[in-house]
Amino acid sequence: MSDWQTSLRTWTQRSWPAGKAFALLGALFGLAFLAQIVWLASDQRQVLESSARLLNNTVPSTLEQFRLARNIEQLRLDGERVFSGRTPVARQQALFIVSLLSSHPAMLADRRTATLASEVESFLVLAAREGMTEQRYAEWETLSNRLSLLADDFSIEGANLATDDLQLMSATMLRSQFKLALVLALVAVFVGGFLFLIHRHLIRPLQKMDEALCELRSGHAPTPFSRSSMAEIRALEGAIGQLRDVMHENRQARQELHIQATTDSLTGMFNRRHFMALAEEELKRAHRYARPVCVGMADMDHFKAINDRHGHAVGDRVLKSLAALFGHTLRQSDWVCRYGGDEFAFLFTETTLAEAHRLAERLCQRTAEHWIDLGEGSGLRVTLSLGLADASGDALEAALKRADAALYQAKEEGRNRVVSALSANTPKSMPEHGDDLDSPADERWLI
Amino acid sequence: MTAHLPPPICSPVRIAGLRRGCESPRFAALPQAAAKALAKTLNGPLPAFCCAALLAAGSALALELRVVISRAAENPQPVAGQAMASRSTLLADFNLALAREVCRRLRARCEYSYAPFAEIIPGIESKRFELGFGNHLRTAAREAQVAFSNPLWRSSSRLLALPGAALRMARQSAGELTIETLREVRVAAVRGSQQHAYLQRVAKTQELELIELATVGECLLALDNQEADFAFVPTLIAYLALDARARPTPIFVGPGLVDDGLGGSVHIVLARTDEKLRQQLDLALDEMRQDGSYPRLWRRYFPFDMY
Repeated sequence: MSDWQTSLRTWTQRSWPAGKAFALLGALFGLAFLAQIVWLASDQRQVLESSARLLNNTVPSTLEQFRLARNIEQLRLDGERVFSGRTPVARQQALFIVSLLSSHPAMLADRRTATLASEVESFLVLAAREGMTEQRYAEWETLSNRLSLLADDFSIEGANLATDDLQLMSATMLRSQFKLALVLALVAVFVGGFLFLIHRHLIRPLQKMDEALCELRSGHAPTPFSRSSMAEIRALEGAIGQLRDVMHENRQARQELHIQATTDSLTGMFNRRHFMALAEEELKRAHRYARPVCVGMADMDHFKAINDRHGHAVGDRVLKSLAALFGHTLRQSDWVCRYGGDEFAFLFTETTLAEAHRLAERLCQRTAEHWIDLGEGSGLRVTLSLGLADASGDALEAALKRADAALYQAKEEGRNRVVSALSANTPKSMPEHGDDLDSPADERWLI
Repeated sequence: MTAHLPPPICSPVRIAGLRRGCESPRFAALPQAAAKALAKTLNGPLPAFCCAALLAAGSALALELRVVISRAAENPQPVAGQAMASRSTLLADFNLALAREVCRRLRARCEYSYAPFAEIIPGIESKRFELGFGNHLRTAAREAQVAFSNPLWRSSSRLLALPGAALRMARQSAGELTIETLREVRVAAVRGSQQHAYLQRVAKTQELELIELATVGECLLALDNQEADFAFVPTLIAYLALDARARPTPIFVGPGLVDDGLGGSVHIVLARTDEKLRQQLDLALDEMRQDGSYPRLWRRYFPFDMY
């Protein structure tokens, strides 16, 4: 790439302060406009000068020419009267006027007229003194024609004087009109260009910023900004970019906090608090619309023994494996959480107790069949005891309490089974604590 | 020596004349009862007081001008509007009519008088007159004495002679007979005129006998009486003074002259210090040209165009 191309790219990529850039543009336009105005003013001055010349010089000169033509014509007429006068006094009088007119300063000022007038006067004086003859009259007719032609010449010259000036003015006005059109075109181009630049470098970036802010509000991934030429816009875009990054980090942190606040860190299942909140809402909905809903409590059989035999790491792996199994086995509408230790709580929405029982049976069966790989060729299987209770007529805590009681019953009945609690009207007595249950259910709910 | 002219129609004297009552011809056209009532009203003390107050105010505000007009002949009594007595007074009549129109446009109360041409510029200088209608050519010497209005018309100078004298001199002169070729002859000119000044300059060189007279008419009379061989006069004035019936009739000799101050534009003269009056006068003359009243006035007196 050549140097000038590099320079041009650098120059075009450079950011310009909007105020200065538009002031520079305005100044350039102002200069161009001023130059054209001066250009136009020269024509106006020329028109004014022409009109002043027309008024002060040409029109008086034209009138002078016309007047001279009229005097020449009068000289001719009085010359005619010198020949045609009825009385000697009339002829003499006409001769006096011929002499007077041939002495007119306007006639004397023009050489052609002065010569011809003098010739006419001399001829007429001679004719008057020596007598009128046919030959003299023929000569006079020649002179008379010359006088007529001269008068015509002056009339035409007078008209041409004004015509020349008017043509000059007309040409100037035409040129001025063209220049005015150019000035208007310049103004139109500038206004159009100015609006285009404002749209491209101010309005469009602002619109993009608005779109970016909308995207930030909606949580969509913001579109990256194109690099603006205006320094202020570029600064704003930078600020919005920073805001976008900060908001993105905040959203990630918030999501992480939300996950931490709602899930169990070991198994990835809902934690008890979140489950309770969701279950409360779901129960309210089911109660309002009289829909069936069940809750369940599950406890891994002999989990303490696994911990004691294989260590807590294996216990954790077992819990994770069970969580994954629950995820695969349960329906999308079923909720499960790690209630505490090796206990799990369930919520079966839109499910009757019998349906929940069948579902729980299947879960118990799959758990019992599930081989938990512990690595190095070893593994184990675990079983699950599960108590169910119909929650469509009870509060959540009461339903969980009955499910917990059913769980104890399942433990007592030999584990790896499902026991459904009786309805809320026929409570069953709480069984003795099994080997896996170290504390009453009410206290464990406080985990 | 000046001759006073009758006051113009618009003068206060004429306006006061209305109070003469029923004798005024203006009342003749009115019905008798109305005329009597009007006359009684006009002759009462209140209108007299009002008229006096108006006249006093008018006198205090109106421009008063003394206008002098170049006398054409020794005993002219020209009055505008009357039939012209002879062609020799036409220019004076034109000047009087022009002066009256100018006064009317200036809203001035003017007093008109005739004076010989030579007395006009000294009269303006000595403040005896405010406006001089003497058909003065504009020259540098005169500009030092008086101010000039815008041009009125244009003049040239020419020699006049009786045919016999002209022929005699033409035979003596090798070429065309002009003022420069005149030698050892008597030449009459109007005292104070440009022709007179020119002759004074060349008289000694060309051995001319200069005869100073008051008017062009006197110059023609001198030609008639064989007291002068030539008259060197303004062409228009000479034309006006010439009588076609006279025998022998003087003729123009040589070409018309405009150089050396012998021709050019003719102006009204006024005091150099009266700049405001000059501006008002020029304005009035411009208006007269623009509304056509000046050409019409000229045509009332002259059948040709000299402006």
